Amino acid sequence: MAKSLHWLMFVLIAAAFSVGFWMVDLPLAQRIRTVPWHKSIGVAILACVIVRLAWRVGHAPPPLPDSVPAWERRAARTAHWLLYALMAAVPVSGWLMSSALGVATVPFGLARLPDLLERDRELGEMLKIVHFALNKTLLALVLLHAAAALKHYLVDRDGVLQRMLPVPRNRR
Amino acid sequence: MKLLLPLLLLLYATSAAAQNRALDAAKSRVAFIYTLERKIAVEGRFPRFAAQLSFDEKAPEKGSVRIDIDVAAIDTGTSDGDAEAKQPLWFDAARFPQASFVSSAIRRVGERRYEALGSLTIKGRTREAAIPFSAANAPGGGLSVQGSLTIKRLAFGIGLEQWADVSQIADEVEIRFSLALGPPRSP
Repeated sequence: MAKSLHWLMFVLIAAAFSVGFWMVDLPLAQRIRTVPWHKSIGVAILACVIVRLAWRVGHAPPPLPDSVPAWERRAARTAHWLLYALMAAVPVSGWLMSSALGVATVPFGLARLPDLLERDRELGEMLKIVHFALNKTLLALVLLHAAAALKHYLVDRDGVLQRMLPVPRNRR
Repeated sequence: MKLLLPLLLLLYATSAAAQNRALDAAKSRVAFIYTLERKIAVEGRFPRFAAQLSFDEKAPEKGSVRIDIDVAAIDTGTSDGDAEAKQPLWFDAARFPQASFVSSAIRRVGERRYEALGSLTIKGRTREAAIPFSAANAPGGGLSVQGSLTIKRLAFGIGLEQWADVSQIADEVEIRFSLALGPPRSP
C-alpha cells in the first residue's frame, strides 16, 4: 500500500511539477486552460498525502538494515517527515494562493472546493512566492531522497532501494 | 429659454448632491465574477470607483444613484490579466476609461429590497439595466447597500475575437457590489 502510494505520488508530483514550471511562462490564453489541470493534480496529491499519512500512522515501515549507522537513521527519519510535510504544504499553499487571488479550485471539474481565504491580491502575490519557494525546497529534498536511495543501492548494497521498487526484483 | 433647461438641470443636480451620502471607499467594494470552462469561478475587482447616492428608505422612489468605475484600475488577480483586460479586445481602457451606471428610477420590490433602473454603460455601449439591491441602516445614520446583477459581457463587446468563445469564458458575468455610505449630508 505505502509502496503503490509512493509511486503513484511520484508520477503525480512529477506531472504537477512539469506542468507548473511550464505553465508559468505560457501566454494568458493558454495558461488559463492549463492552470486548472495543475491544480487538479495538486488536489490529487493532497488527497494521496492524507491517505499516506493515515496509513503510515498505523503501519511502521520495515526497519532499516542493522548496517545503517545511527546518524543515517536519524537523517532518514527527519527527511521522510519533512517530505510528508512538504508534500502536504505545497498543494495547500497553492490552494491558499488561488483563494487569495480569487480563482476557485475545481479539481477535474468535479466540485468546487471552498476558498480558504478572502480575496486579497497582496496576500495572493505573497503566497505565490511561498508556493514557489516550498516547491523548490521539495524538489531539493526529493533529489536528496533519490540520491540517498541510490547510495543504498550502489555504495551500501543493502537492498533498501530494491524493497521500494514497484516490482520486487530480488525474489530469488 | 435656451438657458432654462441647463439651469434647471444644474439646480436639480445641486439639490440631489445636497442629499448625497459620502462613500467610505475603504469599506466598499465592486467585484466581478466570471466563469472559466463553465465551472471555475474567478473573482476580480474594480478597486477604484465613485458612487453618488441619495436614498431614503421612507421614500426610495425619490432616490438616485450614480456609480462611475475607473476601468484601468481593474484587478483580475494577475498582472498580465490586468494588462490584457485594458486591451481593445476587452475594455479598451484608453478609449473608454469609465464604466458607469446612472439610475432613472428606484423602486421598492420587497422588505428592504429595492431595484434601481437605469443605464449601464461599459466600453461606450449603453444598455438598460435593473439592479436589485438591499439597503440596511448602519450606525450613525449610515447606509449599507449591497446587490448584484448579471450582465452579458458580449453585449458590451468585452472579450472579442479569440476571447469570444463562451465555453472558455462564460458570457454571463456577475457584478457584486457592497457600498458603505455615510449619513445624508444636510442641505
